[in-house]
Amino acid sequence: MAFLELERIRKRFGDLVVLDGIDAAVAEGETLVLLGPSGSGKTTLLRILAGFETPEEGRLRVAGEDVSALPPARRNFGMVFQHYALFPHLDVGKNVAFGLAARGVPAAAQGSRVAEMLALVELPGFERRAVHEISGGQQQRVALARALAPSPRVLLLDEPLSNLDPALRERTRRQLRAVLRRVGITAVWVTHEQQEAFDVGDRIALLDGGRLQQLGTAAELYSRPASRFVADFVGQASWLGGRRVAAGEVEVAPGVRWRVAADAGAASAGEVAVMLRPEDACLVQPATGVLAGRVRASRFTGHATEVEVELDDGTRLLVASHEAVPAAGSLVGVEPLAGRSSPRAFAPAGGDGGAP
Amino acid sequence: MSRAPRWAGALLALVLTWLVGYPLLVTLAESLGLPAGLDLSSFAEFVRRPDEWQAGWHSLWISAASVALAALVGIPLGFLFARHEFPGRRLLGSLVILPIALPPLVGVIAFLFLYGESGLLTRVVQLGLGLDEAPWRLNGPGAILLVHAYSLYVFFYLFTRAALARFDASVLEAASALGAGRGYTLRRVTLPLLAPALVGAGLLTFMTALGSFSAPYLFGGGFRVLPTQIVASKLNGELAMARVETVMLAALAFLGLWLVRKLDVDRHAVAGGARGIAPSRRRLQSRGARLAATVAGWGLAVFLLLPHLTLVLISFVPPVSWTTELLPPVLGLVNYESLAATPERLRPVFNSLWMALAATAGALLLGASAARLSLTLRGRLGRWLELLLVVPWAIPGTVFAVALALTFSVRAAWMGRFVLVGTLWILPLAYLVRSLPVTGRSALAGLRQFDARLEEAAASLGAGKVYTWRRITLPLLAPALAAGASLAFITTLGDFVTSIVLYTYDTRPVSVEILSSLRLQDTGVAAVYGVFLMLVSATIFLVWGRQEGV
Ligand SMILES: Nc1ncnc2c1ncn2[C@@H]1O[C@H](COP(=O)(O)OP(=O)(O)OP(=O)(O)O)[C@@H](O)[C@H]1O
Ligand SMILES: [Mg+2]
Repeated sequence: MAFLELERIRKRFGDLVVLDGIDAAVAEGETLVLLGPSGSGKTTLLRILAGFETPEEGRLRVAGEDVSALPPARRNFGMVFQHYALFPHLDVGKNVAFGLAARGVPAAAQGSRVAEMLALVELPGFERRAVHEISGGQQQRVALARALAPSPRVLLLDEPLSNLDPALRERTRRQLRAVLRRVGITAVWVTHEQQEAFDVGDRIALLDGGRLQQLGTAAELYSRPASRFVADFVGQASWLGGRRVAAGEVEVAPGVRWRVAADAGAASAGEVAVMLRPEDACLVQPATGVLAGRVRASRFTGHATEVEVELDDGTRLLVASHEAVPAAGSLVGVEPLAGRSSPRAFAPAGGDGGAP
Repeated sequence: MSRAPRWAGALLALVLTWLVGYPLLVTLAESLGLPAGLDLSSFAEFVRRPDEWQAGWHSLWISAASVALAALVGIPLGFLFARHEFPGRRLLGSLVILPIALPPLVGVIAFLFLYGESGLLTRVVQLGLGLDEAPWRLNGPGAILLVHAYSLYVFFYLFTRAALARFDASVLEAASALGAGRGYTLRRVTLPLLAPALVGAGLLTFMTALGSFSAPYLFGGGFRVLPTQIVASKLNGELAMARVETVMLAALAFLGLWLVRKLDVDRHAVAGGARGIAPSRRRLQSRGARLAATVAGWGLAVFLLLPHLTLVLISFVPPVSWTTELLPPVLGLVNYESLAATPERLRPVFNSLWMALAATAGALLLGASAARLSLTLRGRLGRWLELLLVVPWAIPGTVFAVALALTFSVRAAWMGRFVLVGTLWILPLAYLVRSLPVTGRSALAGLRQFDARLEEAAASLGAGKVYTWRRITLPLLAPALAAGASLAFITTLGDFVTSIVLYTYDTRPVSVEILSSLRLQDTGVAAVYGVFLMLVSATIFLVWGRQEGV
């Protein structure tokens, strides 16, 4: 099934270990997003796939063939660069034709392929335009057309939208996604934006500090995060301390017991950190056995009102409320909604989590 | 960029060191009495003899005064062309750069023909006022300064224009929104912002004036500066003194270079890298002001180019046909014909062409390879290569000529020294050494701007190394390489400083022939040679040389 396979990829620059044993597999036609904070090693991993960097260890296979030792020009991987890297002395048509010409495709065949590619990215008839005369979004799409023209086996994209302003970004993102689907190409897409990752990725590989934190669909990462880092990175999360009292049951405050989901790591611990997503909680009347706090602030976000509740010990929780919000300072109760993915218990913070 | 093998870098560094650094070192060592033993008596002699240290002093103050005069011409000219739109602005804007691109010797003889004792303007004034003799004599420090101001203003002009083009218009708008008038804005905003560029232009002017040879040689008379003093000592056979003078001049040049690097002068030389939008050129509102700008632009340009126009005129004046008349009574092609018909007179033209071509090709190859290696090989070897490429640019031609002459007139093969002086090889070799910094610097600049990701993009599209080099790297570097090569060609084609020290009868170049024609009162032929150098240099410069901004 796996078309592109990464096996124990390890890379360092001097003493700095930038990638620490990355394993991943991408199915044919699938878009894998490499997501992670700045400096997590996303670009380095992509450049290793392209062949511009050589890993200290690890293999890379495409359709079973080991390509680790192939130079970039022989890998037949297309790449869309962050700053596009369009050839400034060639026009749009010649840029798109470059990979074909390099492979010795006859001129006539080049012309029709270029036209086809430009039509694909909705820039028909742009052949004669100079690359510095077209807008950023158009340059972006020329870069995509250029990368796709030689029919690469895998397409690599390094933060392809980061140079566009926010309004344009969303539209271009949809266009790119549509093109990838239509061509049916296997793609690896680097971004540090969770929204973008969820939108374009069939699956997401979350990197941090050169380690793969979790690989899965957006829904898996969101509702079953493998670590506190993942939970924080892919959505809003509130954290409160607790003590396990029974299997799947945690006391989050004296006399307040919540049923929680837990992974193996947290199952055996006595002290745990409990993660609660705002949309999995609701505000109730204060009562015994209910977590109580005071409303600090609220913010209307359109589909809900985000209420910040401060507990007696200073812990703050976010609750997405769909009802009238009590005034700031009022005493309220917070309860998890039944049948949701959170609250979730994690092993207590070793300083690496995002809990306050 | 792909890795280059270390041994290639080491080999290249060795060759360049032998060509560029070694002659300077040999001269320094021998001036100190080495290897026999440390002996400072030559330096003591330099300090004791008034005409020696005075030459040093003259060099310094002439250079300083040249800076002041060049600024006086160049800065207003820069403002005029950067800020005002008038008919012919683009053409004139390129033409006024020419004086720096033309061989200095051509400028000097052009000056002679215009302002010299029997020059065109001199006659006009003399006949107009009914004087018995020329109203002025073109010699001494005044004449040298005039020639310097006339050609070195280009640095100030270019730097001012580039800096103004880079200017963020919103800064000026902010000043006027705050109620500042034009004069106040100029004093408190524009000039302070221009200051770094002007300091850079001043330093380049100073360094060029310091190494200037042709003007002091032809107009100096008894007034010696270091470069002319060095050549005089060399020709008189006072080799010990020539060495000390050379070391002193090189030391001054190194001091200047150190300042240039410290102040990062190159940064100001080219336009671009701007934040914000440069102020648009003012279309002058009132007709009077527009007329004034047009007249000023054309007037200044014609005034600055007048000597060279005179040179063209003189080349058409048949021998001994022009005696006391205001304007030449007859014009014709006699001089051109006599040059074309006399193999002896064509010889220097061929000499100059082949030597310049060979030196440029060699310098391009060595300079570009060294530039590439200095960027790919990190560490000490890379830095040393860069140093060898960049440093010689600041060293006056006289220093190199004399250092090469002294180093390669001795046979000591195990020391890397051969007798080349008096052979065919020494002059092209010297030209190559002088061209290296020109081609090397532009190759470095081109490579630094080159985005290595473009090569990666090509590779990701399946292009091999050779294909990428041919389709991407070379086309993108070509403008920088062409600019470097054409400047190197121009410099060597019209070279006078190096040639006068190292030429042999068989390799005598055009510049040397110009001088002997002048000595024989053959002004027409000298002018034809001058026109030849001028046309070839100007054409090459305007077509290929401009990308680098000089
Ligand atoms: N050529 C290099 N030499 C030395 N260190 C490098 C090099 N390239 C990257 N690094 C280091 O490797 C780490 C990972 O860099 P990388 O560019 O892969 O991160 P990234 O996830 O793409 O970050 P960003 O989101 O900021 O682009 C960083 O700490 C970076 O400083
Ligand atoms: Mg990156």
